[in-house]
Amino acid sequence: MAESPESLQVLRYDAAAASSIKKTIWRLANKLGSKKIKLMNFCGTHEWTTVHFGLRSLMPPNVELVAGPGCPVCVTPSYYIEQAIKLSMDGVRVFSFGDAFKLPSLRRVKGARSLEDAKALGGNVEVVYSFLDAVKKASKDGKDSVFLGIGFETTTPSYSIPLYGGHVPENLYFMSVLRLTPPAASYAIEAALERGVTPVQGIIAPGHVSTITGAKPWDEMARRFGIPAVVSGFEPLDLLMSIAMLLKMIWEGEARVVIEYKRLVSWEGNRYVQEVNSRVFSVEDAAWRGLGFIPESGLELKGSYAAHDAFKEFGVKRLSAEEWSYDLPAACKCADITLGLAKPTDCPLFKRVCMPEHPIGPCMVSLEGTCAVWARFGGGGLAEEIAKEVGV
Amino acid sequence: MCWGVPARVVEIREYTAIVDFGGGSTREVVLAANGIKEGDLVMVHAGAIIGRISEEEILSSLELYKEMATSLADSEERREIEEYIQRYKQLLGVGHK
Ligand code: SF4
Ligand code: SF4
Repeated sequence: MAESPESLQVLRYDAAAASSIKKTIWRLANKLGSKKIKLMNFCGTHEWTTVHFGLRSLMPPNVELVAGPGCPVCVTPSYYIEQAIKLSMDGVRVFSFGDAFKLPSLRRVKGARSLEDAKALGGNVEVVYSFLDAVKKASKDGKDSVFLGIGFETTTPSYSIPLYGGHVPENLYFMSVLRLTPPAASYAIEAALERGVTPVQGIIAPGHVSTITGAKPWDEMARRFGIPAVVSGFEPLDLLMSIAMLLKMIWEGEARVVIEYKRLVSWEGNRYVQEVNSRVFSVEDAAWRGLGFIPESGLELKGSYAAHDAFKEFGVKRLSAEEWSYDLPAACKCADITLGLAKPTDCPLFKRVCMPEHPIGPCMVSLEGTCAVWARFGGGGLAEEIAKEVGV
Repeated sequence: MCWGVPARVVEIREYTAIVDFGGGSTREVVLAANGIKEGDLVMVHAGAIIGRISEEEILSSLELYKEMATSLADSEERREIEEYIQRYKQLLGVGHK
């Protein structure tokens, strides 16, 4: 076996392979006639690959690739960012991932609109690579700390395994804003149906989320909505193959899931993590930024693990459905973009006022935020051009 | 925060492992999958190993695609598809089984 990760590079980019798959895609799209086919991804990294490698420009005119809720940073309610800012200003050390550090809140807290601001204003904020790093630091210095626990299913084990194993020191508290992908995906598909826009006809299911959940939830969704799903990898050839597979299933009227990303994803997923998660977390209704409450879409610490609950320890209230209010800046279209109902170029602020260096809305922050991806790689009018080609 | 990065397992510890991202960059990450051994190629996400990457299965997505594509392709294209899958197999060192 060749030395890897280099072996993975075979899927990176191969002009001949890409052009052959492109032919297959066009052939299938042709069979489907002129009606618009909308395929939705649910992962920021899929959107990154799509834009970075210009995959939209390879699509036939009737195939439209749209981005759904794919980035856990973008959907973290402003309220929780504000609470984290407040804690840091009160002297509690707040650990955060790099992109949540820059995430703008709606309201200023003691002059700060992000954890980054808070730090500049004397707040106690520390950016770490992972929860494990925070565990080590907090164990060593014994200081009261909070970890801003953002993430989808993929990020859950980095928290749940140290918690379950009893490796987290007493002075480290966890503020869970963990969110689950399949409920949000259903929500996005339903939103399109309700608004009467072109319905989603195929699901490009997130490869790394599915490493944890398995392909099963996507199969349930495929059957429920009567549309096919493909669990896809993240290299350009993975995505092209997945698109071809989806079109073939659409043409044959199949509504089930196929795993393209077999090198990592199984039907059942990571049973070990599923088991540990089920002991550490309970599934609750949860707020998504700009969207509101989605049933059974969030995770909270439960049982004895609640001893690490930052909400309890610091008396921070959890948002309730009644208290939640729309939490995006005026004119920001992140909500519709997250649902695949709008594209970044529809926003009047896109690249005029709102830029990766100076984000106004949350989708411009994380590397995987749809606006950030378009701004970084769709520059020079290319984004508009691509959009025109796709006809959105 | 959400990028998955492939890495090679260097050392297994209690609930963590040391992985090598290539080019000598190593890190301690949470071991979040069963049956991981030293030398395995794994996917690391937000500081945890979420699964083993099966190097054999890299080919299987190509095979899956080949099956589908050749059923739709003309003979010229079928040859092209065969050719590049052959090339991949060679690259992966499993070409002449
Ligand atoms: S460009 Fe900025 S303000 Fe507009 S939708 Fe995107 S993140 Fe929101
Ligand atoms: S958590 Fe994983 S699946 Fe979700 S956006 Fe990030 S990389 Fe994609």
